[in-house]
Amino acid sequence: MSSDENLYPWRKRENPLASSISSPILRLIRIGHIHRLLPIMEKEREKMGLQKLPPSAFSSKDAVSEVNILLQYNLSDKIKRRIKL
Amino acid sequence: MLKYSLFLGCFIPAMQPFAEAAFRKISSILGIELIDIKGASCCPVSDVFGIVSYDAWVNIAARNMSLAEEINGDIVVLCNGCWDTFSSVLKKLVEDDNLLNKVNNNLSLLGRKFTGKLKVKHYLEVLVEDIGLEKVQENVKIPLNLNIAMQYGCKLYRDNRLLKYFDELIEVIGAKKVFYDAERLCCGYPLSLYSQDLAFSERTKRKIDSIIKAEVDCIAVACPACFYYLEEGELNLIKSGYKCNIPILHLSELIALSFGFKPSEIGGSLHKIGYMNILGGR
Repeated sequence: MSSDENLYPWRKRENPLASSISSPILRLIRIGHIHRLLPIMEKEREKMGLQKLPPSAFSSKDAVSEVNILLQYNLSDKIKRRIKL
Repeated sequence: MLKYSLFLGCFIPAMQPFAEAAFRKISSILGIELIDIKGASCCPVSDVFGIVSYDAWVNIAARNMSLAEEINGDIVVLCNGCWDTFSSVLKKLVEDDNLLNKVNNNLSLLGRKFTGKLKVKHYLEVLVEDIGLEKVQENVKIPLNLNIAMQYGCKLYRDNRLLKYFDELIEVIGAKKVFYDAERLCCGYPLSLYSQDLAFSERTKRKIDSIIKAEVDCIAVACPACFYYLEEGELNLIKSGYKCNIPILHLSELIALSFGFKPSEIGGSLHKIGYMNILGGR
């Protein structure tokens, strides 16, 4: 139990967010998108004449950093705790 | 030549690149120049971020739109979810100076600015309003002659124009819309964020059952989430002994096929439910 829960045992517990909600948030934080581009799909993209990686956050660490700065400022502390950030 | 900033989103480049390939092919035929938005992220999806963190939703959407403004082209999107996020956030920012200033304060941390002067367009709008149905029809080499169940997607119901454009495009490529009872029912994606089982039984399965009764050749979608849920739904049903094998195609793929592109040129083999059998040996 956290110290708050020791002090106030009757307070409503903050449960973690359901994985269906927390997973897209965590993926946005990690890769800037909510779906991963798997290596097998990179090959398939090339086969059909597309760029292996689109020039989006899939291929730009700077883009992922920028998204993280905005999330840092805009996600509430409560949400950060509930996704265990 | 018409010029747009192309916003791909997450689903299409990562899981359904055939929709991207098809749209790029038909754009080159129709005289549409597409400029990739470098550094774009998830739009982000309104069903998650619009609820969990409104501020994050608005700020990240504004960042993506500011990247398009730098290119100086209106945005074209291939996904109903991205269209919903951008059109909703753009409206809020244009109507509320305080919100726009707040967002620009955050964007200044990244050295960016958003003015709100761009337009956000679903590709249905681009094809019908900017290109015109006549020009699309002029380029049809092989009318599809298919009976099609339409899956518009919930977000598209926000704008009746887009529903009409979807119907009109299906008609000009020589296909026929077939009505089915559960046409208005959601594919199940938003409900799956709450319960996968409930989404499957109360949405996806009901919808597929209704489509089977309509005896169509395939399902046409304008949204990658609908594509994903209907395809996964059919695969689940097949595993449990159901007899359903109805191909699902993005509208962009159907248009590309009618323009004479072969399935092999637009990633047809990546479909988990193949569509070659409905094309009459092409």
